[in-house]
Amino acid sequence: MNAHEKVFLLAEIFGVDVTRHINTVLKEIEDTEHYKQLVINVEMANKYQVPYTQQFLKEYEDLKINTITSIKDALVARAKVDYLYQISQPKYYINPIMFNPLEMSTDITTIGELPCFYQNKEITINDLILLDTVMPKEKIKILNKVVNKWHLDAKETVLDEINIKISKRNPINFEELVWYFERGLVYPVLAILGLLVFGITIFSSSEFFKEIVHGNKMTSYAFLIYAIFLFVYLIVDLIDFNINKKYLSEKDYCLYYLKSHAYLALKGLDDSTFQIKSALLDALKEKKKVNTNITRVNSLSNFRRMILFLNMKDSGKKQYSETLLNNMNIIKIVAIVLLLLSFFVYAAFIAFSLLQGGAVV
Amino acid sequence: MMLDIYFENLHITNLVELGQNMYLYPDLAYSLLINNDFIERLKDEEPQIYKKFCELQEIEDDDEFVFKASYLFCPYMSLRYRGYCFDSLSLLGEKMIHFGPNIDVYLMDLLEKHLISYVAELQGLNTVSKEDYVAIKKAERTFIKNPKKAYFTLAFELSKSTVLVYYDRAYINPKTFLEIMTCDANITKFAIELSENEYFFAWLEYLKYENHLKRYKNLVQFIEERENK
Repeated sequence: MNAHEKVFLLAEIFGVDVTRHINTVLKEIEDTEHYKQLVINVEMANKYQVPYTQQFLKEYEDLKINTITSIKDALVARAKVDYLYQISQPKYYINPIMFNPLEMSTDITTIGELPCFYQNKEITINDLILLDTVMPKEKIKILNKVVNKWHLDAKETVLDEINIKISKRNPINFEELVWYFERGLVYPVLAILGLLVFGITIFSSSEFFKEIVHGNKMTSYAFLIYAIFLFVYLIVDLIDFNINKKYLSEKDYCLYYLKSHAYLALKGLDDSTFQIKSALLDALKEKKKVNTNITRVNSLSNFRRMILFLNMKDSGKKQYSETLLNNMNIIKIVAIVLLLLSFFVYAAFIAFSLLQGGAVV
Repeated sequence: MMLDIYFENLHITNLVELGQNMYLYPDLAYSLLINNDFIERLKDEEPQIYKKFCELQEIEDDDEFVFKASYLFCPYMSLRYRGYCFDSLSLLGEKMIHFGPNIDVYLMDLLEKHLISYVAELQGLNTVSKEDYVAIKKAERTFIKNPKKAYFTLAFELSKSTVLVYYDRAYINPKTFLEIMTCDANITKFAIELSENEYFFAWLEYLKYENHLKRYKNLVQFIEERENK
């Protein structure tokens, strides 16, 4: 915060119009490397949902740079950007137990490069181990604290979520109700109506088949149109159902996998924690850097991805509906409207002909 | 005690006249006060005054010594110090504001060496309003931590003025003042001075804008803390 900005801030508090200076600050924010990197960090953090990230993601959401209208908010936002950039760096929320290198752009590859805190100062695990001024007991205490935090986070993020997923009942949602409504009520009604009209037609006029073949009567056209749109509707609905089924089957598969492999997740968590602790203890004994690659202890990585996929249900569905399913729905609606129209036209003609003495018009 | 002294063209004939005019010629007055003949005569002719004079001789600061000696010779007179003479404390306050945001070193001396309260106590508190006396004592205490703040706070308290005279231009309210200070021509100079501009802050406090100031200082602190994290 420079001296000019302090004056503008004070002036604004006393009601002076300083709006022309707001854009300068906002542009400065957007041009900074910290802001650009923060946007990338937030994108990664959104994928990498651990308890630590929730805090700064919430603060990032509150920034709302595009809606700022005062110099105070602009200066606070700029200060927050710097602060958020600092705390949003991946090194603070990389958890080796569930780390996925494909999701994160970071130079950190080994456990020793991750940070810990000694006397409230940030230091890498490697540096802590090599530090001569710290007693081994103190080092073990600090490192245990770090590993226990990873363990706890992984437990909360993966194991607890698996428990929730595999133990909860499947609630019937609105879309499922529509599905049951269509297939349990609409289809039978359409079929019964069709058969009813078809039966009446056959019994009321022996000339009906002849008229369909020759196509020289209005009722025949109406019937044909009805039959065509009924057919179109059913085909489109079948395709739609198959797409949904395919999508749902991926979810079902993940859920099934989680159910049948939950014990592996539990075992993986304990194994990873044990491996990390062993590696750290070995490094402490030999007073050397911890070169164990993070990807060698990330046994919960796949489980976490599955949970993320299961939690992405709504957005995944939305993606589908925005493209193919949306078009399908439009075709379905058009088809059913035309189908009903043709049915009523057809029924009207039949009714009219019956009133006229049984002969088809 | 009869005297026959010339301070330049000013002829002084007794101690009271001497006390009344020492502020105009402090250097000459000092020379006289340390003159052995003068001290001997004072000892012989005014033993009571001499006794008190001896106590004053322990004062290391020359100006303070001259000031207090002048009030020894003439206790009941207006506030006089190094060329300045104020018939009332409000005039003193106005003079202090007049130089804003700069500080007059002699007026600063009055506060720093507790000379205003010295005179008030010497003449009896009935010559100074209780409110002014409290303000003076408070300023003397503040002076230890923040001399500039003490100086300008006292200036507004004594003058009772709500107008800010800033480089010879008068401003009646903070908004107008800040509107002018934020224009391109003034912003740089004012911005550089702002953090130490106790004059402006004292004015705001005197106008009871403490909450605005508190909010401003909290915001600056919050933003800078975040930036430095």
